[in-house]
Amino acid sequence: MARLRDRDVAEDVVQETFLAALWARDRFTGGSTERTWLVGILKNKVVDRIRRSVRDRPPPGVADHDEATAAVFDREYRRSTPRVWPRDADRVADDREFRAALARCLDRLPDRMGLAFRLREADGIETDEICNILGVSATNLATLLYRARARLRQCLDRTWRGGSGSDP
Amino acid sequence: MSKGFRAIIRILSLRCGEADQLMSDSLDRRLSWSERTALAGHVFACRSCRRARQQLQTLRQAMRHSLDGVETLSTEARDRMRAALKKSC
Repeated sequence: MARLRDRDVAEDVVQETFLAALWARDRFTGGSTERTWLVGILKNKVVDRIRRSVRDRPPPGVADHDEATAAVFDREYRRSTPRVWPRDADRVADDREFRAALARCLDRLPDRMGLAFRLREADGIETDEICNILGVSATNLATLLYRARARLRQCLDRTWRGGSGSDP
Repeated sequence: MSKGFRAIIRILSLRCGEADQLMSDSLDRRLSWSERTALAGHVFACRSCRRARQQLQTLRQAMRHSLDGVETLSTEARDRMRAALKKSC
């Protein structure tokens, strides 16, 4: 759902996944669990959908938002000092308030930037594949990911008030 | 100019903005020797960039857990899928 941002499309993709699994059931060797096999098919279907929707969009620049706004953000961001987050990354990652704040901050990212970030960080897809999916160069993708991380960190610094640690 | 000397120049001239970009890049590709050395030197000396690096690590950790929660299918979608699967059996 988070990748496709549309419940109807997400449901269509789930249905396509089940149908594909049904047609390919003879090829399921049992080398992994059924769940892992289905999730693998689902991921491919999601990537196909994203690729198609990106193809239908007008050609993007570095990001699908105003470059001047991005430049202002970059300047301000570079002047700011990050807050100290607790050292235990696992604990922070499990913190319910942190996760809620992160989900809100993710929603604020421009579409293409948020998608690039989710594909890279949540799905662990390699950068060359993301370049193919989104139709951007490696340099553009590096900029998109850098800006996504910068915006998320700044957004979390402003909106997440949970715990503070000591300087690393 | 020797490799070591170039690295020292790079460390001394690296600004926080560039260090920040390199920290992000390091999550996606292997940095070159001079980039790694310059970044390590800069981060060692810069408190702000040490904080930024920790934030990046936490962010990655959090994203590797699923953030999306469990979405469930609506009853209509379930029925539709069941019918489609039956039809293709």
